Amino acid sequence: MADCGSKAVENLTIHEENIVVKMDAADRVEVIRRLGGLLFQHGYVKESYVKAVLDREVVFPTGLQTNLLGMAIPHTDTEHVIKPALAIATLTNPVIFQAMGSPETEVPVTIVMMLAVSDPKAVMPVLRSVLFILEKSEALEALTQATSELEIKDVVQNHIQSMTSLLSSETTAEDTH
Amino acid sequence: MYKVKILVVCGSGVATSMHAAYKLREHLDRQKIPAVIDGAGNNELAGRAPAYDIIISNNQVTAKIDKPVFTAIPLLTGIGEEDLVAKVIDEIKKIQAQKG
Repeated sequence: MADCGSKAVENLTIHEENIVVKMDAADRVEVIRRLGGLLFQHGYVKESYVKAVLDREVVFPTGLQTNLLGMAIPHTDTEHVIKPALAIATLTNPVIFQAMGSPETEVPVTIVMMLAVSDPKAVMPVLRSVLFILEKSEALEALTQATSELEIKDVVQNHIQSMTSLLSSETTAEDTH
Repeated sequence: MYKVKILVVCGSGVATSMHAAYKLREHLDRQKIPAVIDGAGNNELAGRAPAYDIIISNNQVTAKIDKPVFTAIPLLTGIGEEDLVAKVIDEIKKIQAQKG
């Protein structure tokens, strides 16, 4: 991973247009449809993306129980993505996702971060930074407290910045995909 | 010393398994434990598993694999991470002792 500088952060778009604060959704299908719809509407993913994410969620669910809350990171294969981006929703009421690695377990989810990735290697440093938020209760708490799309974007950007120094020293594990 | 070969498996290779693989690599580096860590898609698991000593997956492994399998989830959430790493390291040491 040679290219781990700040440029990488710009490769993954985090924009208010793909963020919904305090979404009121009935179930995970509605969350995925709405967030995926934003990504499609703004040109980040192909029309096939939403269905592909919904289908993948059945086979490889993405609910994760963190120390603070349930979070889900729905995503799908790169072929459905045009430009890498992150779509984010905080939910007024938890919706059920099945747990990653154990589909028989239900996770009540209040934060959804939908990943649109076209070239995993190109965005890996920033994507890793984003995923580290799963371990950061303070940042997750700040997300649940956020009252605007801009605030959510700022929390995630600040979190990514705080991880940059950690990740910039990486030079190993090149073979992992 | 024998370099244990670890295969980290994922659904589509987009994000989470790579993150888990990096985190494991960082743990092993810190403890100066030599290991090869590769990634594979879920559909490649059955074919590639024979060449590896340990499998780590963030999905349920349904294929019949004759290798120790660990879950990658603690590496993602941080919950139970130290436990998992300790178990993987135990397994690595066991394999090193066998293979010399």
